[in-house]
Amino acid sequence: MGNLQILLRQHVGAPCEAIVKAGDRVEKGTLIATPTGLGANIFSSAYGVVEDVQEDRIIIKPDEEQKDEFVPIAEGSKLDMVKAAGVVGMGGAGFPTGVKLGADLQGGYILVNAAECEPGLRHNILQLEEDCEKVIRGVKYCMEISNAAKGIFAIKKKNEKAVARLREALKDEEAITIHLLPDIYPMGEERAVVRECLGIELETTQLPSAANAIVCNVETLARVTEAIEERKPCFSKNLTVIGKLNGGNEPHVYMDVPVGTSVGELIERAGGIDGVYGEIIMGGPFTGRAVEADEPITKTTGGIIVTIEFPDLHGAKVGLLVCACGGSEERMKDICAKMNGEVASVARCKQAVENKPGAPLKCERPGNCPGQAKNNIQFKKDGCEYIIIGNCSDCSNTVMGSAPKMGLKVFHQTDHVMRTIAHPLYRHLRVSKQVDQLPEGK
Amino acid sequence: MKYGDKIIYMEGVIVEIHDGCVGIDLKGRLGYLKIPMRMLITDYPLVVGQEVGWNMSFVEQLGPEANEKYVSNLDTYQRRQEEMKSRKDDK
Amino acid sequence: MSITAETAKEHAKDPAVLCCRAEAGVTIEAANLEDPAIFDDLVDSNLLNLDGALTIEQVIGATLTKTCDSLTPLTADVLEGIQAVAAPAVEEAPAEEVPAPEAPAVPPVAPVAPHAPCAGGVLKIHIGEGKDIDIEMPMGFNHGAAMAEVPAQVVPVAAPVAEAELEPKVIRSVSRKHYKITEVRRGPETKIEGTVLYIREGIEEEAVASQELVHSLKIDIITPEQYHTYSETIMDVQPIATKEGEDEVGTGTTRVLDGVVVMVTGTDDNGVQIGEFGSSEGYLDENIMWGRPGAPEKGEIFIKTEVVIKEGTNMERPGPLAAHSATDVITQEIREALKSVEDDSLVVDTETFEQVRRPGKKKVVIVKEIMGQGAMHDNLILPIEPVGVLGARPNVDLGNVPVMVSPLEVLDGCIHALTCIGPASKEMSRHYWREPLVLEALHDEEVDLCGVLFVGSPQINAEKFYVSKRVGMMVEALDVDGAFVTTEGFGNNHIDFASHIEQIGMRGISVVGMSFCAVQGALVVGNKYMTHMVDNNKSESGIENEVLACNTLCHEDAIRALAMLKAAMAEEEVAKPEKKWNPNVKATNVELISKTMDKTIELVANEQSLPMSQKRKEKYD
Repeated sequence: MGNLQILLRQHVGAPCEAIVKAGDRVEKGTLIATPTGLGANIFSSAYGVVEDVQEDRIIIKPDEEQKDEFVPIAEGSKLDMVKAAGVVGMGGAGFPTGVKLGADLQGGYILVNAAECEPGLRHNILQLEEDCEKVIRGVKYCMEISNAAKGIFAIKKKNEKAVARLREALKDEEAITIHLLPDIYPMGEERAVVRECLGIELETTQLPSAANAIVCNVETLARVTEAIEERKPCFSKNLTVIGKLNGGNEPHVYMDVPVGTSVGELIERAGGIDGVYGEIIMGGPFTGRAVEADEPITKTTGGIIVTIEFPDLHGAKVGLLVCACGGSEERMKDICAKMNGEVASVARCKQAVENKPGAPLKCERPGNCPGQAKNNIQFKKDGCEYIIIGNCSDCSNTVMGSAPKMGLKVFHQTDHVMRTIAHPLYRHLRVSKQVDQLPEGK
Repeated sequence: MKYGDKIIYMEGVIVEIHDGCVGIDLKGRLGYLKIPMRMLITDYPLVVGQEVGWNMSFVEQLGPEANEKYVSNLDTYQRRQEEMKSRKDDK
Repeated sequence: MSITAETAKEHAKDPAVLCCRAEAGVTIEAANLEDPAIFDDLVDSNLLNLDGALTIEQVIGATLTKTCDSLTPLTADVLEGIQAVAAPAVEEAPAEEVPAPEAPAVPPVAPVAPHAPCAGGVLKIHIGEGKDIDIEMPMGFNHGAAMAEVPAQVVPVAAPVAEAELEPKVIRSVSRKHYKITEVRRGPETKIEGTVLYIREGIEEEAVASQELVHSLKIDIITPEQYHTYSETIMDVQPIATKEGEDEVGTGTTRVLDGVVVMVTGTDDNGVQIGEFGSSEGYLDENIMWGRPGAPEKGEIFIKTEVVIKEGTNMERPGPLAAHSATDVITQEIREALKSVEDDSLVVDTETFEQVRRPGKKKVVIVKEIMGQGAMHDNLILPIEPVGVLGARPNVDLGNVPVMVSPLEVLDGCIHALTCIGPASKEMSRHYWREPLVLEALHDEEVDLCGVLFVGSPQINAEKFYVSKRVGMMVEALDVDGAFVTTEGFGNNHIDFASHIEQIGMRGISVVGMSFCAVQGALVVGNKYMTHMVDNNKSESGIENEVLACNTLCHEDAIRALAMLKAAMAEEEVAKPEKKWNPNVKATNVELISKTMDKTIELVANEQSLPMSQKRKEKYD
């Protein structure tokens, strides 16, 4: 086991402040950094010695031998324990769960985001298949803490085994139901979950609390259960490693990986990279970013993807269609550079809005396209030969409605990942946005 | 124009204000621009030091020949200016 | 891109096309539809075929029966519950019957019904919250001429009683007595002898002395033989006219000299042009568009002043005003001489302008935007003498607020213009003296011209909107059926120009806008009321050239605007403009008007008629 690098900035809010120094001995669950504003506690994920405290990270040299025991958090109210355990939104957003649950929903909803929408990732669904009871208990704790009357699991219909397990487990739970989602991206977007489950379309600046709801990821709920029942601090992460790996492109799911483990170590554990590769992505194909092998995982890392090589565009002019659903403009430019294209034009999906200058884009109506022909006209005017799009299923379909006829060759920013994991490319939409629901959500 | 579609965003600083025009120094010492009031869109009262922005393209020659009309106008104009200046200096 | 409910309403008659994939069972709303603004581009690139497409108003609320992909035109076979709408207007059917223009080079323009011709032009502009501004190239006024001939013939038969009540009423009149001048000489006193005008020698000193800022003044008498003379920038062209006795501008009798005009030019002490922008300096014969309302006629003699003002004042308000005032000292002495002429045999012609109100006809007002940003962007309003200085108020000092004048005051020289930028589109003082739109509207028996509203164009946007809201209120109070809004030149004045049109349009009043736009003067802003636009451009390539008055409002523009306003007031459809500026649209409109009116419309010449070197011809208009 190599050194663990525990980043001081793991979630929404300001970076945490280290409360240990080099040479300190730490155990699994030792509190090593505390928030300076909005944030969550950070714990050591192993037994060992603090080797260095740097500006942005704490480096821990783990002992050869690791016990399963950990330092428990103090007893307290359920909400206090969630806060003390440093639980954050583990689907990727990283918002402190204790803060989220502090709201009084006045009989509202806990919505379980089980969409696992980023293609290739598997650990959320696997957790439901193997131990959905722990998640269900988490839902009940959250309902109790935030005064919600109902819980709803939002899960894609295609995950038949997980749905079957849930139906079995929920049959006597009056307050908790299942809402089935179609298999299109981005059903897992927080506001899309609210809209699908409750029929309320939130503004880009609104939080789910505006609909009397809190959206929590599957794993987050499991961590809530652990914090309350086992007094366990949040120092490990479930994730999926997938891609161009020795042994094939099947997903490798790892539960309870110590936070701070390096990407390279996890890739080695999954078999190691198979020959030449394009890039390593941390996160999902849509919203992840390219990283180096020595980067550590955090409480919000969901996936590690090793991709095949990029196609070479030989310096051709490329238009970028930036969207809230996919990578930022910076990420799109990174992909374009890796494809050896020259960015000749940048357009933004009409619905992608920046709530504040520089803030991540949000989609006004996730998954419902506003039309893209005008952007294509712009790309054509700007002399583009290729375009790279980062759109959702519906918008990608619209782009395909005009781009090829205009002589624009279309790449989706996830193409290299989709080819790696043998997933259909995001082009035309062939499935319906409507799915039949279970009778009474059961 | 061959490169007219290469639009470049430019910024400048208002350095002179007259009733009929403003003088603008292009940032980065890229030149000076004097424009009639009418070509300036004014959302606020004008003050020296205000920053302004606009789009430009590169300036291209339209051809190799000098236009006689303009050359002659320029000559006349400059000659007159010289004359008037010397007359003023004589006074 | 998808559209909003509001856009859908504006484009109710446009084809409905899905912007994105929509599944069977969906109820069509605005958000499902593509913006018609991009259809032209899509049709051009063969992405879209609008044959059989229903209109937006027909499909909103209907249910899709089949899943369709993006850019699918919505047709009856994929929809249920199509909204019933009155049959599309006449203009669709007779599209093929468009009288084909003789010149084969002219492409067929939008459809026109032979019996109900419509005039029009739509300016397509999109503004994204006022910051990222898209401008579709301006102007197009496809096919024109909605002469209300039919009603005019019907009325007398129908109601003789009503006719008595609706008799036109002459409010006031003004007579112009013309005195012919064939020669201008210098002499010991300023006087008119026969057809010779003498200007007193030494009057220059008094002119200089009258203005602190003026350091010298030179008078040149330019005869037609001397047209090939270098001149500084022409700051103004003015008629020489005076009122008889106690008559006021706009009433009574005016005496005017024919064959001679005053021309103001000048520099500062350092030789810098007073009207430094909009320079028309150079050889007179290459820089004047003869015969424009504001320009000299070929054959006229120019009394040209060359005023030198204090250095550095050329761009401040007092500078240009001093040059004008000094020149007016000379003009005033000529006016006095003209006043004292007793020999009526010298009157070569008398014309009378009557201000007629025509109750029962469509009531219209002309809103003329004049410059008010300061310095040479100013106008003196209502001097005592025609185009004089004394007694007039600078528009800037009046705060640029709207000022109502009678059409006869306009034609009698109530505006003394200091306007600048650029020479080709500026309205000289003489322009108002011969204002074609005022003349045309005044003489048109089918409209009731109630007045001319001058409004200044201030520099700062907040002030622009301040004055334009007053224009809106005033026009509302006038209770007119239609309004013209004109402006001169281009630049930030287009912001208030657009705002005036909006203020009038939002009150449900038909409005036609007139401006130089073409290529270079493309409007900086727009709004949904800017649907009826007439472009004053005459230049070959649609740019602001350096030829005096080339692109100003002329007779041919006035009749197009009038035809368009009549069409608008009759609620006839007006076709949309073409995507890019296309001079053929104007040609077609003029042809249609001339056919309908059964009279030939002579188009004015442009800069191509002026002498210029071959080289210049190749490079420049």
